[in-house]
Amino acid sequence: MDTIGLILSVTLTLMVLSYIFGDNPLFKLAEHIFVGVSVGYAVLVGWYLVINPALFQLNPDAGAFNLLTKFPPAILAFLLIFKVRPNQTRIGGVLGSVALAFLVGVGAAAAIAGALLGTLIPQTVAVAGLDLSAANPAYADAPAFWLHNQFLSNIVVIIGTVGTLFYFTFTHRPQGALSGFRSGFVNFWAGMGRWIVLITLGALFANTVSARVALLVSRVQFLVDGIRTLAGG
Amino acid sequence: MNRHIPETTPEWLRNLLFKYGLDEGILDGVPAHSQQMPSAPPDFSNATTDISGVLNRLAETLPHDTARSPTSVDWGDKSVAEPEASSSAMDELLASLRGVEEAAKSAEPAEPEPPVADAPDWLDETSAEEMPAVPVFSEPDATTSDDWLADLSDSPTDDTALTDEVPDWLMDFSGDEASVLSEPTPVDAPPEASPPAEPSAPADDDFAWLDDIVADASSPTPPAVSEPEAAADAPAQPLPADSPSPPETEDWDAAWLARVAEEYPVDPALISAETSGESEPPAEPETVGADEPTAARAPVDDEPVLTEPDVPDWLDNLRSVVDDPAVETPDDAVDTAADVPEESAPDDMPDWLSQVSAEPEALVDEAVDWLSELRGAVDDAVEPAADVAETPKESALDDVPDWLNDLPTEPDSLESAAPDWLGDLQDAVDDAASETAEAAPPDDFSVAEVPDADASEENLPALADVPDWLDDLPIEPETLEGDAPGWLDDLRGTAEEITPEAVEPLFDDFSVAAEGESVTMADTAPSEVEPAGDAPDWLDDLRGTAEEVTPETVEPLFEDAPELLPTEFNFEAIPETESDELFTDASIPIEDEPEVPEPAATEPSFWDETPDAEDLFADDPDAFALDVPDWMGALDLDAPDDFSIDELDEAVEEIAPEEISDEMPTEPEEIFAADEPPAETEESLFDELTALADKTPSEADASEPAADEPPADEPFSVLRQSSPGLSSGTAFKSATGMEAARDFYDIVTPSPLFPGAPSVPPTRSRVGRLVQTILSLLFIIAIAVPLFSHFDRGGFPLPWLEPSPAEQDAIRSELQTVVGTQLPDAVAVVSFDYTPATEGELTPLAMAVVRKLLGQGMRVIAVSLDPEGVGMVTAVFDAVAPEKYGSRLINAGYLPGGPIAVRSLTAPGAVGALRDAASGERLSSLPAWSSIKDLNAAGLVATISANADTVRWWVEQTSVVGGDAPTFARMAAVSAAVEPFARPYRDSNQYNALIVGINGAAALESARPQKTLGPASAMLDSQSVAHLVVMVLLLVGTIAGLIVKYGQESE
Repeated sequence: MDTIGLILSVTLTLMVLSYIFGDNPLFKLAEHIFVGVSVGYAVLVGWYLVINPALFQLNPDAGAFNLLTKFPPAILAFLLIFKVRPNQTRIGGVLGSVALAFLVGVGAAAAIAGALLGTLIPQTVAVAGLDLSAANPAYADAPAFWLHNQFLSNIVVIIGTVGTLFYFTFTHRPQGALSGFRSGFVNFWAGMGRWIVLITLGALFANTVSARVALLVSRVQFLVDGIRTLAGG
Repeated sequence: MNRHIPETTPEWLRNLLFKYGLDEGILDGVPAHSQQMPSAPPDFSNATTDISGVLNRLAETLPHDTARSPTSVDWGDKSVAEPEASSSAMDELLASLRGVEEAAKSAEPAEPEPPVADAPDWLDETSAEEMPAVPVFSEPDATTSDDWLADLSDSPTDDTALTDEVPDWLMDFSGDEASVLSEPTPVDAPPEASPPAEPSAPADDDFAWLDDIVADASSPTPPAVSEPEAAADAPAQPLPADSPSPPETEDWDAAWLARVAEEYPVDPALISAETSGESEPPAEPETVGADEPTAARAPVDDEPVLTEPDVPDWLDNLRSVVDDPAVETPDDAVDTAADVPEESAPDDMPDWLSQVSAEPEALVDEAVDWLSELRGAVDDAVEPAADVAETPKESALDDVPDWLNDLPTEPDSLESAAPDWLGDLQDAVDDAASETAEAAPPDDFSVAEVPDADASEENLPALADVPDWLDDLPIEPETLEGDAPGWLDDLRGTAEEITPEAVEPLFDDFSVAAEGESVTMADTAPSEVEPAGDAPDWLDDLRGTAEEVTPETVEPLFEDAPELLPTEFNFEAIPETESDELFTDASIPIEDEPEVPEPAATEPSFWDETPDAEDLFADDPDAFALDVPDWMGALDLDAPDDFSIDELDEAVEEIAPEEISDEMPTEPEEIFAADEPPAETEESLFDELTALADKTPSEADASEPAADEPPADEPFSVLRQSSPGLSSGTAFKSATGMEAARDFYDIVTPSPLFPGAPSVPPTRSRVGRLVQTILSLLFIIAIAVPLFSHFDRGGFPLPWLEPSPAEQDAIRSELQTVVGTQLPDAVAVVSFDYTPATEGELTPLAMAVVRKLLGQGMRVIAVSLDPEGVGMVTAVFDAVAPEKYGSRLINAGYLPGGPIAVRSLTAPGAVGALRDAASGERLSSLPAWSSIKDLNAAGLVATISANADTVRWWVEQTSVVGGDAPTFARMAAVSAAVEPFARPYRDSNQYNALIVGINGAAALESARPQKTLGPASAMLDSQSVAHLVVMVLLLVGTIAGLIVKYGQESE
């Protein structure tokens, strides 16, 4: 069984790697198998781990509370069926929209609250609390390399944050007495931000490449180990 | 049998018929009385049926409208005014007008007073300045008449205002007429003599005054109705107390009326039955009492009684005329009518008619020509409607317009110039002239006077707007029936309820336009343009009644062309229906639509824009047939007239797609934008296209194309050439036609490329694809070599392929901070937020993390925000320590909802409510995990993610747990691609540790005390080699690209 699975896995991996020679039916077949298996697996997981336990497995400790905790989600889940087709009837659209509105509303509330409390405010505080002095007690035991590295990192973070914010400043040409100064100031920091954005995008791309190379290495390693196994090595 | 076919039913008679629920067609076929020349009064001597007979027949045969008073005469619009109110108001108005007239006559005896009150409506519309020579009768408008009558009553002394409203022909009275009209009307009882509150009983009686006429035939001075009689005759609805009481009687009963009464005696029984309500519903509250007809019949022999309100004013005037000794009696008219028509004409004739009588030659010169042409067009367009005329109500005789009835009376002058049917009319006029009495009776009487005893009800023709005095013309029905166009019948029948909304789409496509222009749509259309101002009555009726058309009423009009009913006018069907004849022959004014030349000769300008157009028609005209585009040549240019656009479209769709692209050069807009006509090949092209057009019969007589033909019309000339049925450019010039033509043009022409559009980049060459394949294979081989060599495993670690000591120290430091501080049996909630797509990178990382946690003595609760993450958990657990599942490791499965799921875990008891994915049991029910209720019970929350969102969710949603700050540490093991997004959270200490990709996993493995090589360390060599290869390839590729670029620039 393991051998069959290994052979099948190796074969599918080779079919995917056949894309090196261009788009071909083998690649398409492996692609479709991968998508189909993933979806099928997700459906089964959803049924066995979410729907079935939530609707049909009562909590013995809850008692009558089971009905109150399971009936509303069941109704909302049933109403989502009306959203299967995009062109529902008026009543179907309304009913489906009820559950969808519930999902969107709760999700938006959670996302906004989490973004405020978990990203915006902490990140702002973190940037504002950067200490560029070496006398920071937090760095007392840090080696000199770390201190220099952290100091440089903080400088980059500050410049990058300010410059990026200026880069996304969309205003008309300033007017007035200090219009020239304002224009020059904004343009300078916007230019800095532009470079920060470029470097960030480059870093993202490099990390993406590194991640994809790691995936390729993993697959090649699987092939090598699989061939060795099949070859009896 | 001569039949009288009046075109206009007098308003009062129409109202009378309406009251009895009759259509005015009931009068059709009434045997005509003696013919009446415009210049001579009718002769009553030959009449064999009197009005009483007609009225009695009406009373006997027809049901009464119970909603209306049988004795009221509605002088206004029957469809608008309240019956009783209108009658009463009109009676009141007439009474006041009587007083006004008397006052005016007393003030200015020499000023003629026109018979305005009861003048026929068609006379109201007569305008001298509009029709100096040929009269035009427009739509009868009772409201207008009422207005000017009201003005008269309001300003009795304002002669100027009076004359402004009075018809001109009445104002033209002079001399004798003025003296006649200026004679004070003898009134036996002045208005004030009547009791103010006494209702004018006769005013509500339609027939009482007619009976009075009969009864008064021998009595010149009928006595006034006594007050008791009037009171007895009072209707149920009395007049207002302050309303002026009209004079009860008059001595105006003319001699000719007396003779009428003598010759056509009224059956008192019939009248009594009529007026007493025997034939009416008994509950009629406004029925005149039985005494009234008695009062009217009593003085038949000695005291003819006629109450003033029942008599129209114009009858008063006519009575005065009759009383004039200069006017001969009808008895004498037979002998003198032929001799003295002009002398008797002014009594009942407009001045323009007098002019007609006086100067027939001039009229013939002015009107006969265009009338003849119009008649010719009608004869061409209309086939004889003998069968149609079988039914009197459908007879086309009433379609003869008024202005045609107003033809000059000189037979000699007409015979030479007028068409045949006019000649027939003239013959009838001649016959009438020999029988015309000198004194002109009232118009309305003439309708009822039936000289032919053979008249029957079924022969009653429809009435129209013909002036009554012309109604008396005896015209052979067969002759007129043959002359009347059938489409006019349809038009008349359907136009009665036309509304502008319904007609507008029709006329839009026909470009309704200014006066003096007409549609030239079909070949049968007359080329003569008839000015709108000279349109006869029947056209005015069409135009006026068109305001009431509804889609339902239009349908009969388009029975033969149902496709015309949609809002978008289908001009393709026009030639196949008679609607085109309708609109064209009807001379509907068209805006900016002069004579449209035949499209056959139109030059399509786009033809010259074809690349080889000049070569096509350069020298040899015969080569045209060979050089004609195939799609065009395939069209049946010799097709008959019924060749439709549909057939053309089908033919083009079958033929054109491939071949039309070479012939049709550009978009229509480019053609339309061309300001100048085709230059070089214009002549040859024109000749060829003309020759091509000559092949079609309908275009054989095509005229030369106009030099200023709009360029926008030129592309459609091809369609016209191919579709003889569409011989006019009118449809193409409409918006619908233009749009249809554009659609056709778009179909047969390919979409042009934008001039500035970049060319399609060439596909990668085979060499390029081969190079790409080779490089890919080399890259894979470079990755695989370290895996086979087992550098690390073989004891030959390459330093540059191992994690740096600094990196190992950093990771070790972070893990020490996060994991090293955890107590044994502490719980770590690890979220596996990745899928098999990123399994190759994150599984080694996850394994390293799980091993680290297990090495620390911690328990692991695995969850996943991705359904496929459940399988990843299983794979990792199976790879790390499958024997510890349930005791140290447990898979809680999938948490649906994304951030909501993370948020829900912060709720109290949420972690204990999780279920084991393997057994389905709640963690709270499992002994090893029952102590874990919520998230704060865990010492570490870690996410192994290849998705930046899940990294963010775990940070954001766990920032507050149960309203408090979290007590657990947070760690993220992410893919290298997610690191830039996760790093800020690590820098802000929101994540206490961050391990990235294979490097982090390898560092974690190397940091273990066992120093065993894990999968991450095995992959790290290959990844390092791959990074090296990537850098080399980037360098080589950049250099090669620069070389190629500079090489091309140097060339």
